[in-house]
Amino acid sequence: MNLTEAYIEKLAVNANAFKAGKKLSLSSKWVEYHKSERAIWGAIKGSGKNPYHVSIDLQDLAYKCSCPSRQHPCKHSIAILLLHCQESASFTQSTEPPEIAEWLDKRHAKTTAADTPKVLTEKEIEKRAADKAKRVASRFDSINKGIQELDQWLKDLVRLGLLELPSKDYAFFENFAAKMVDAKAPGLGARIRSLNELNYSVQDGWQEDAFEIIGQLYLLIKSFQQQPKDQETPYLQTLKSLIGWNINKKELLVNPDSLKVTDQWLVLGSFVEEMDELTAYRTWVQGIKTGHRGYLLDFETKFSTGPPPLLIDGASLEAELIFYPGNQPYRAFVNTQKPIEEKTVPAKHFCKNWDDHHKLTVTRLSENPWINNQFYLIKNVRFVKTGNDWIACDENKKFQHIQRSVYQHSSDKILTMMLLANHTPVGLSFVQYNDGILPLGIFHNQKYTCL
Amino acid sequence: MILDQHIKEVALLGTNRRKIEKAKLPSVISEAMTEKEDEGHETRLLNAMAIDLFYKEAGTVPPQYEGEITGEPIIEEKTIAPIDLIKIFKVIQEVDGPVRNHLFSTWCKVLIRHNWILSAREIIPAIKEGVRLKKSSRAHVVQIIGKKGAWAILQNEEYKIAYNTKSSIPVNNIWEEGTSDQRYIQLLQKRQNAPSEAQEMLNDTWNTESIHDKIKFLTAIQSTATKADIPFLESLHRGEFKYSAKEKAKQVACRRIIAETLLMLPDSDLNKHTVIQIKKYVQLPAAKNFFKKLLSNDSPKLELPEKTDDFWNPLMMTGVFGFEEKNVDIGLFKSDALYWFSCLVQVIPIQEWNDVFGFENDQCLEYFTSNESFLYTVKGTDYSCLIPALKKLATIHQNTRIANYILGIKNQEKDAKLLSLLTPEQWEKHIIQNELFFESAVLRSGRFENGQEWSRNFSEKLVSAILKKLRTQASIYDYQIGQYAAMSFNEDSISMLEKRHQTETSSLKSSAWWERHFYEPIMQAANVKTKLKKYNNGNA
Repeated sequence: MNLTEAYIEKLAVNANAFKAGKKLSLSSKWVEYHKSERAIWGAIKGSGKNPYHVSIDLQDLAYKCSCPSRQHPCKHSIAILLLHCQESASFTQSTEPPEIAEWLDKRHAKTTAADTPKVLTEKEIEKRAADKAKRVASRFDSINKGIQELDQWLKDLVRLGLLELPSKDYAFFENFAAKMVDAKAPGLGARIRSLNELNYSVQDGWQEDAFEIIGQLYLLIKSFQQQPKDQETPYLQTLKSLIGWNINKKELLVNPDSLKVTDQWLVLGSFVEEMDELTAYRTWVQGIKTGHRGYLLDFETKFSTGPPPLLIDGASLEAELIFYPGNQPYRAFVNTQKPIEEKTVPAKHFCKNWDDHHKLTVTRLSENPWINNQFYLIKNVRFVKTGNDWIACDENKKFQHIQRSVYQHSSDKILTMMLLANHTPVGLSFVQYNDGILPLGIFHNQKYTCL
Repeated sequence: MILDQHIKEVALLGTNRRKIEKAKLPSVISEAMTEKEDEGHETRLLNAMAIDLFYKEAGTVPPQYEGEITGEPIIEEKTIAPIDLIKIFKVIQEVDGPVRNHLFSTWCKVLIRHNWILSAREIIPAIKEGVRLKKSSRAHVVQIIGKKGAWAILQNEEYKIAYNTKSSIPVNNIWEEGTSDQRYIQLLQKRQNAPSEAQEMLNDTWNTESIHDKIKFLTAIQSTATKADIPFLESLHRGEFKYSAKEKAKQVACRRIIAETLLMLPDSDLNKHTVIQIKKYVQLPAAKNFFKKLLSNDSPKLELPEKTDDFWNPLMMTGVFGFEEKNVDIGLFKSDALYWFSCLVQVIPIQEWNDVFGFENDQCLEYFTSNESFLYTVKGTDYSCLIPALKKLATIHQNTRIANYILGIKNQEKDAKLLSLLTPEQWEKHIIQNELFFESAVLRSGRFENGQEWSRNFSEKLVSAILKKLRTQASIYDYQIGQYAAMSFNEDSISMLEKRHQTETSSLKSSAWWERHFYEPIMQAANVKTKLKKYNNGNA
C-alpha cells in the first residue's frame, strides 16, 4: 500500500498531530527504519529514556507504537508513514523481528477468522434458524406494540394542538423516545427526540419542521403496519432500517444476497458533524462505471475510529462497496479499497437542468418518501447573488437556493466556487436539503474540484 | 415549503377545537385520503398532514429567476505559477510565528518577479494569508492573485476592509480618489521619483485638503525634506499656520511639523534665526592659543534663563515652533527653557550644534550627554535629559554616528530604533561586543533588507551563545529569538547548525527549548528558502 502525503494527512487525528509527525519525518530523526512485504517499522528517539518502536501493518493499515500517546495514530506512526512515502527506497529490506511478525500474524488470523464463517451441522443450522425466527417474531411484536403507543401519542398531540409543543418539557419527549428504544424501534425514538431539538424560541419558525417530523413519523408507522411481514421485501427492509432495525456490517458481509458493487468511485465530498460524544462523517461517492451512488455514514467514538482512511474529498479509489438493503440502495460501507492516481470524472448521471432534477426527486420520493442526504449531479449551472443570498441558476433560469450555512459565516467556499466557475456554466454535485442545496464540488474542464 | 392553510390551522389548534373538513382540502389530498367509518378526526388530520407533506415536497417545482445574470468570464493575462511553487505555499502554511510572514512575503516576491499568478483554487487561501499576516504582505498578495483575486476581494466585507489600505487596491487616480493612506504613499513615492511633480500635485489640492490630511502630507515632507521644500514650508509658516489666538490644536501640530522641518534645513530662515538666538545663550571659553586650548579643561556654557525671557517664552515657543507651552516633565527638565532647548536639539543638525558650541567631531555629543547642566539622577545613576532628543535627531537625520555614540552609553545598548540605523557590519559588531543575542527585538532591528543574511561569523556566534546559555538554564525567556534568526540566518551556516544540533543537544539542560524555538524554525525556513532558490536563480 503506497500512501500519499495527502492520505497520511487524512489519517492524522488532527492538524497538529500531522504537523508533529511531519517534523519527525526526516530520516535524521530516526535511529533505524526497515521494511518487509507486510510492514514497515523503526525506532525513534523520544523524550523517554529508550527509543520508541513503531510498526505499521501495510496490508490492512494498522499502527503500533511504544510511546505513551493516546492519539491513534500517534505522531511517530505518522512520521514513519511520511518517511516511507518520501524515501521508500532508503528503508532497509529486513526480516520482521519476532514481535512484529507475531503482531502481524495475529491481525491476519483475526481477519481470516472473521471472513470464514464457522462450519455448522444441520442441527445447528436448524436451531439457529428457529432461534432467529423467534427473535424476529418477538421484535416485530415489540415494535408493533411500540407503534400502537406512538400512534396514540401522536393522536393525543394533534387533539390538543401543536401550539402546545413549545410548553412541553424535556421529559415529555425524552420519556417517550426512551419507550421507543425499549420497544426496539430506536429510529422512531430519534424522530421523537428531534421534536425536542426544535428551536421553539423563534416565533413560528418551529412549525414547519414540527409538521414535517410528525407527518413523516405517521406515514412511517402506518406504512410499517400495513406492510406484510412474512416476506423480506426491499420496501420492508427500508422501513425496518428507518425504524431502527439495522443490519450490522458483519451480517451484510456474509450475506450472499447483499448488494456488492466494485467500481472506481469518485469521492464527491464529505461533511463532519460533531455530536455529543461522537462524530459523524458523511461521505458521498459516485461510481464512474456502474453509475451507483453511495452514501457512507461512519461514526467515530472514544472506542472506534472514523471513516476508512482513503475516503478523501476529490480522490478516486478502486473499492468494493456493500450496500444496506432497501428499495433504493444508497447507504453503504467500504469493504475493500485501494487508492488510484487516475482521476476520472463521470460523464453520465447528470441532471440536465432543475426540471430534470425535480423529476428525479419525485421518482425517488415516490419510492421512499423519507429519503434524505440525497446527492445529485447537475450540468450547466451558474451562481448568482440575489440580495444576501446565493442561487444556482440553470440554462432556463430556473434555480435552487444554496444553503445559507454555506456562506453565512464565511463566504470562502462560495467565492472559491465562483472563481473556479469564472462566470461560466459548470457541473455541480450537491446534497439536497429542505432549506437549499449543499454544494460538494464543481466539474469544470474535465476536472472535479471539491469545495 | 408551506403547508395547506386549513391543515395547518387544525393541527395548531388541535382537533378538540377545530375539525378537519374534507371540503376545505385541496382535491389531490382529499382524493388520496381513505375514509373509514371508525376513523377519528385525529387520524384524518394525521393522514392529511402526511399526504400534504409528500405533495409539497414532490410538487414544489423549481422557481424561475427573474433578474439578469450578469458577469463575464475574467481573462487573466499573466501565467499561472507552476504547481511546485504552489506546494511551497502549503509548506509555508505549516510554519508558525513571525517567520511565516517573512517566508510568505519572500514566496510572493518570487511569483511577482516571474510575473506569475495563482490558480483559482489558491486565490482565497492566499487572500486569507494576507489578512492573517502583516499589512505589508497584502500589497504582495494583490499582485499574485490576478484579476480574479481582485474581484474576490470585492465580494467579501472582511477582505474589502483588510485590503483597502495603503496601495494594495489599484485605484486609477489615487491622488483624486484614493484613501488618505493611499495618497500619503503616493506623495512619498512621487517625492522620491519626481519631486517637482509631487509639489505641483500637492499645490493643486492643498487648499481643499482636510487638516487631518495636511498633517499627513506635512509628515511625508518632513521624512523626505530637501532644500527645495523651503519656499513652500516658509509660505505656510508665515501664512496659513501663523500663530493666531484662537487656533485649534491640529493647526499647532501642523506648525510644529513645519517648524521642525525648517529647523532641519540649515538654509531656511527659521534655522538661521534660531541658531543666532541660541548662540546668545552660549558662553564660549576665552580664546586661547593652540597649546592652551589643547591643555585647558574649559568647556562652553549654556546659560538658559530659569524663568522666561524674550526668546524662551511660551508665546515664542508655541507661536513660532508649535512646541508645548510648558515643560512637560519636571523630573527630566530643570526648567521650561531646557525642555524647549531639547525640542530644538532633536531637529537642528549636529554640525550646527558643533558650530554653536565651538566643538569638533563627537565633542558636542559628549557635552550633551555628560555635562552637568543636562543631568538628572535616578537611583544613583546620572542620565542626560537630552538623550531622547539625540535619539530623535539620529533618527530624523538617519545619522549613524550619533546612533553609534548613544548606543555606547550605559543602558542604551539595546535601543532598537538606533540599532536599525547602523550598517549591517556595525550592527553585528555591536551585538557581538555587547552579547545582545537573547532578545528578539534586538535581533530583528538589523538593516538586513531584500533577503540579505547575517554573516557566517555572526550566525555562528549566535548559535554558540544560545547553546552556552542553554547549558546552564532550561529555557530562554524570549521564545521568538529563533523566529527572527530564521529570517536572516546565513545559509552556509546551516550545516554547522545541524552538526552542533546532533553533537551538542545532549549536553543541554533541556533540549526542548532549543529544538522547538530555535533549531526547528531555522531549519523550516532554510527548507523553504532552498526550495525557492531555483526560482530565484532563474532556473525555474
